[in-house]
Amino acid sequence: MRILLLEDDRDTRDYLGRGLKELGHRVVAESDGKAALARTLGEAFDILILDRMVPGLDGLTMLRLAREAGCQAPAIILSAMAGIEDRVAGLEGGADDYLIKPFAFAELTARLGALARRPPPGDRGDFQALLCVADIEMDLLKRTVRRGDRPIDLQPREFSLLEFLLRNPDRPVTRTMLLDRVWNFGFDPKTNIVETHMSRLRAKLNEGGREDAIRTVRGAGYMVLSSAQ
Amino acid sequence: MTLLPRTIRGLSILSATVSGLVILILGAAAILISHHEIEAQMDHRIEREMDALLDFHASNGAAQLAQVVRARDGATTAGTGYLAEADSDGRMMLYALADAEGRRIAGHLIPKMPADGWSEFLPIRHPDGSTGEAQALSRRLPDGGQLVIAADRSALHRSDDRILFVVMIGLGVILLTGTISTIAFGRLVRRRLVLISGTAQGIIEGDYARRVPVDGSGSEFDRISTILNQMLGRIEELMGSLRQVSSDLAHDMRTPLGRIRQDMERLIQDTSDPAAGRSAEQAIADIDALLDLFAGLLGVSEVRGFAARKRFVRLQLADVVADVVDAYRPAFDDDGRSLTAELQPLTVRGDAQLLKRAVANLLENILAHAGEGASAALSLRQEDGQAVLILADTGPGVPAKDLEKIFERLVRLDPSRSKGGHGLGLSMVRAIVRAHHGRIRAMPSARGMVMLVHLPIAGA
Repeated sequence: MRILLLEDDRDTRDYLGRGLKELGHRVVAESDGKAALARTLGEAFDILILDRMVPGLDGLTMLRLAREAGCQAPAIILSAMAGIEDRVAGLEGGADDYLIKPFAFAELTARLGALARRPPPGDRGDFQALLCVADIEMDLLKRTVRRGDRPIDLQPREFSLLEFLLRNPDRPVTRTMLLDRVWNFGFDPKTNIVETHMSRLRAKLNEGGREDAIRTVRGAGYMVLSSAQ
Repeated sequence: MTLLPRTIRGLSILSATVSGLVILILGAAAILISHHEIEAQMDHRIEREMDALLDFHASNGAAQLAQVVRARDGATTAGTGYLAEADSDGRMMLYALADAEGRRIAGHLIPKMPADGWSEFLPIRHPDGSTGEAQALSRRLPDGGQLVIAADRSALHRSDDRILFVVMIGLGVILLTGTISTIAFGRLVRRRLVLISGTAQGIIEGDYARRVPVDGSGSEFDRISTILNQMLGRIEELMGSLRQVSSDLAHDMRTPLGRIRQDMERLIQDTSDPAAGRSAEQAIADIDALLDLFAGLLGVSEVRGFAARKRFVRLQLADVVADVVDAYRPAFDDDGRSLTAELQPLTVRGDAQLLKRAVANLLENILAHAGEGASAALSLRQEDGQAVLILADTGPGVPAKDLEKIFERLVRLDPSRSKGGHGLGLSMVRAIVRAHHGRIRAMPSARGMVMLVHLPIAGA
C-alpha cells in the first residue's frame, strides 16, 4: 500500500516508517501539515496516517482540506490528545479511525489493514450477502452460520464478532478494534469481555473436535485464516 | 433597622402608605382652613348686611324695610331677588322679617324664626322645595320686630366636598401609581434576577461560557452584572489555563512514555535474551497502566466539564444497557456469578458511549468487589417521571460511612491498595450520570449493596 505518514516527532516517524516498510508498504513521510496536504493533492495514497499536532497545518485541518479537494483515502489519526472529546472531534472531523499515542505497532497495522479493506463510502456495489472464509460460511441476510455442513447457532453479538473476523481474513484484529467495532464501546474496560465472548464463539465453532477456527496472535489479537494449515 | 421592610414590595407599600397619609393630612388641613375662611366671610357678610338694613330701617321705617327684604328675598316680583339668584346652585343669602308681635312680614324660606343672636345651623328651605341649613344672625329692631339674615351653608358644604373630592382623587392616584410602580419595579427586579440566576444555574450545570445579559441601560443591575461577568470571565480563564496545563501535561507525558514504549517494543523484537524480553514486556505493561491512570483522571475531569452535553441525542436507554449487560454476562457466568436484567424501554437524552461506560463501570465494580458466587440484578424502570436504574448485588457491600466516599476520585476502600484499579471507575460513573442531569446513590441492602441511578426521561 502507498501510505502517507504525517508525524513531526522524528523518532516516531522513523520507527513507524521503518516498521511499515518492513511490512512491504511504500511510505511517504512528512513532518509538516502543509507539505503533507500538497502531497495528497499531487499523488494518490491508499491510506493516510496523520498526527494531530504538527507544524504548518494540524492533522485534522489538513484532512478536512484534503477531503474538500476530493481525497477519499481512508485516514487514521494518531494523537497524544487522549480526551473523549478529542476522539469524537477526530472521528467527526473526517477521520476513519483514531488511535491514541502511545500505541502498540501491531495495533496500528491491524487497524490499517481493516481500513484499507473498507469499501469507499457510498459504494454498496460490492455488498456481499455471503462471507466465506476457509470452511466457515456466513449468510448475512438469513443471519446463519455454517462450518462445513454443520449449522452453528450464534448469539447476535457472537455473530457480529465472527462477521468482523471474516471480513478481515488472514489479518489480526485487535481487542480494542473489536471493542470499537463490535461493541461500539469507545473505551477500554478492565474486564476481558472480548476474551470471554471469543472463547464462547470458539467453543461453538470448534464443536465436534475440529481444529481451532480462530487463531490467537500473541500481542496482536485474533485472526481467521483463509486456508487451513 | 429591623423595622424597615427588607423586600421591595414592603418598601413600596411603606412609601405608598406614607404618601397617602401626607395627602390625607394636607387634604384635612385644606378643608379646615377653607371651611373656617368661608365661614368667617359669611359671618362678615351677614354682619355688614345686617348693619346696612338696620340703618335703612332707622331712616326709612319698617314698611320700607319689608319691601327691601321681600325684594332681596326674591319672593315678590321676578328679577329683583338678585342675591337669591346670585348662585345657580341655591341661595346664598336669606332674609326674614317679623313684627313686634312675632307675625311674619317677609321671608318665607326661613320656616321658624331663630332666637336672637347667631344660629349656626338654622333649617331653611330652598326655592325648589329642598331643605338645608344656614348660618343666621337675628336682631331686634327698635320697634320690637325681628330681622333675620342667613347665609346658606350649602356653599360651605360644597367647598368641603370639592376639596374632599380632590383629596380622594389624589389619594387614589397615589395608591394606584404606588401599586403599579410596586408591580413594575418588582417585575424589573425579578426579570433581572432571573437572568442572573439563570446564568448561575447554567454555570453550575457546566456551561462556563454563560454570562449575565447586560442591556446597556447603565442601571445598578447592569453594573452588578458587568462585575459578575468580569468575575466569571476570570474564573473561566483560570479553569481554561488549568485545563490547558492538564492537557499539556498529558501530552508531554505521553510523548516520552510513548518513546520508551516504542524502544521496549523494538527491544522485544530484537533481543534474543528471554529475560530482557520479559522485562521489556513488564515495562510496557507498567507504562500502559500509567497512561491508563492518566487518561482515567483526565477523562473524569473532562466528563465533569459537561463538554459531552452538546453531543447528546435521544436514545433508547434499555438498548444501551442491554448492550453492556450482553457484553458482561459471560464474564459473570465464568466466575460462577449471575447477572440478570429486566429493562423497560425508556428514552433519554445522552451519549451512548458514555452511558455504556457508566453501566460497564458499575458492573466491573461488582466483578471486582462482590466476590465469587455473588449475583447481580439490574432493572430499569420508570418512577415519578424518571428513568431509574437499579443495580443490586449480593456482595459484602460497603460500610455506611463510606457510601458517599466511593464516588470520589482515587478512593479505594482496600487500605493496602493492592487490588487492581485506580479508584476512578465509580467517580467516572458519577461524572457521567451528572453530565446527564441525573444522580446516583449507593445504599446498603439486606443482601448486599444497591446502586440507584436516576436519569431524566427525554420529552417527546
